[in-house]
Amino acid sequence: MNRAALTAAWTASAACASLVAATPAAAHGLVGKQDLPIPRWMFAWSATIVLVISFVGLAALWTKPILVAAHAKRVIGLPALLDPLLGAIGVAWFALLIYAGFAGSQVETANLVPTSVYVMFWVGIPMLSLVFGDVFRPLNPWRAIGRFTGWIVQKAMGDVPDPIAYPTGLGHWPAAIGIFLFACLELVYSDGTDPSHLAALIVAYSVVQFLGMAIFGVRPWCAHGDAFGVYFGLFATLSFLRLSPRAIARRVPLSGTAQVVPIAGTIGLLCVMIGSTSFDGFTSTEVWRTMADWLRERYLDIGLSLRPAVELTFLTGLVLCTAAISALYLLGARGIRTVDRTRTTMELARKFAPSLIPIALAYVLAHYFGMFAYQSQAMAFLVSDPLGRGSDLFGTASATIDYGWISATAIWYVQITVLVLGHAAGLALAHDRALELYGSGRKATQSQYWMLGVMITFTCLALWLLSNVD
Amino acid sequence: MPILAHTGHWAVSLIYFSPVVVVTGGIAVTAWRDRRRERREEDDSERAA
Repeated sequence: MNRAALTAAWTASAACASLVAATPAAAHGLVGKQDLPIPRWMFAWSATIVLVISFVGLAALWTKPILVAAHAKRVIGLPALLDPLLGAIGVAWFALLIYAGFAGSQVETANLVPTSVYVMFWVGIPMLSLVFGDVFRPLNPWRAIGRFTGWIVQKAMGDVPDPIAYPTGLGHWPAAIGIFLFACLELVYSDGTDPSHLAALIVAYSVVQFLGMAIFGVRPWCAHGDAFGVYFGLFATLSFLRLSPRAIARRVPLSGTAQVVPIAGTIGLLCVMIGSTSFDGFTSTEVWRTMADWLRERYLDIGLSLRPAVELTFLTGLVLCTAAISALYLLGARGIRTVDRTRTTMELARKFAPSLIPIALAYVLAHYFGMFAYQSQAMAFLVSDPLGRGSDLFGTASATIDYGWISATAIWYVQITVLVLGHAAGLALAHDRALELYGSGRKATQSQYWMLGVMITFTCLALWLLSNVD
Repeated sequence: MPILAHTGHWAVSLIYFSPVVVVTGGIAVTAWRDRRRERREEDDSERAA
């Protein structure tokens, strides 16, 4: 290791230590973020230092592309029955959610559906995917039903016509639209936590999935068009485990993500993922409150009633946030053109798109970890009383949420650690891709100057958004 | 616009973005220096040829 690299490594360690060394307040009940030993804005500086040092370290120590060609090694085989069994479990849970949504209590905290959708599904599965790989794929109820139906049809009719080839130009766009609509449900629609509305929307989403599978085939549709399958699948590439129907394999960290081949719509999907999470945080800021007041008044002025005016205000905010994130990323890709005039900005943006995957996951984990830490405990009583009608199936209906198991200070440290790691992973992926494209370490490093700026902007933005959530 | 009238309420949060300003400035200077050095190297090699 040369001297510069050694210095970089030591400074990075010191900066990392400055992020976590401060002793969190005693873990008793909820503790305000104000207990932090330094002002919250200073964490933006610490995170920036870690990222800059990481960038220098990558330039000095990582001189050849290693991720793209890395192979996974099989660890253990899995029985053939496991995949359909997990599929059946997924279908059973899916059916229970629809039933609970329509037949259960319409009080959102008493019904199984809102917590299952917004906490366990939206946040819990990305966490599981990071650790175990693509756990959603075998549990995916739409895939399981699609495969089972296909099997039945084939048995009954013998030869069935081949599905239409999935159009290249469609790429991940259906998934991007699906995730955007889910974000609208969560952040724009006024009745987004209403159990019966959620159940109806699950049914509507299912109809679209079955149509897609019928037209294009189960496998191509699940790989491109199933919004949640693609969303969780991208996060799963970050895991060091690769889960396939017949085996579990281990792989070099980040190699799964580096091997993602971006197609049409991948950038759009990733920008929607980051933009929607950013907007969720942004709605807690004073800037948004004043903007929203102004926008709502304009919508009321054109004759809308209050509810559509409020929903349109939030939709405008969501679209603007997604557009801002997309513009920021394209700016970073534009910066790469300073060393590569042979490719267009969009081509470069697509080549480097996998570097956004760990950032998208870091945003999700950082923004929703606090909610997950507390609200996931509600599942203990919700599974015993899924309809909210007073049943006690497993004897846990009287369980409560322990708000004291983790302090707000500890949550803050988890959030910044996740953010820094996510952005450092993004830098590493972009650096590896640059080495693959440009060969020379110097040119690869130069190509990433502006991407470093983008990563630091994403980090500071996330810290600012988190600082507004109390 | 009200957002401008309430500048004082949110302008303080711009401090979170101070690292972005500093790093972007540093990147701009480094990129400019790199380009100048490369141009000088190209000129030298042309002269040597």
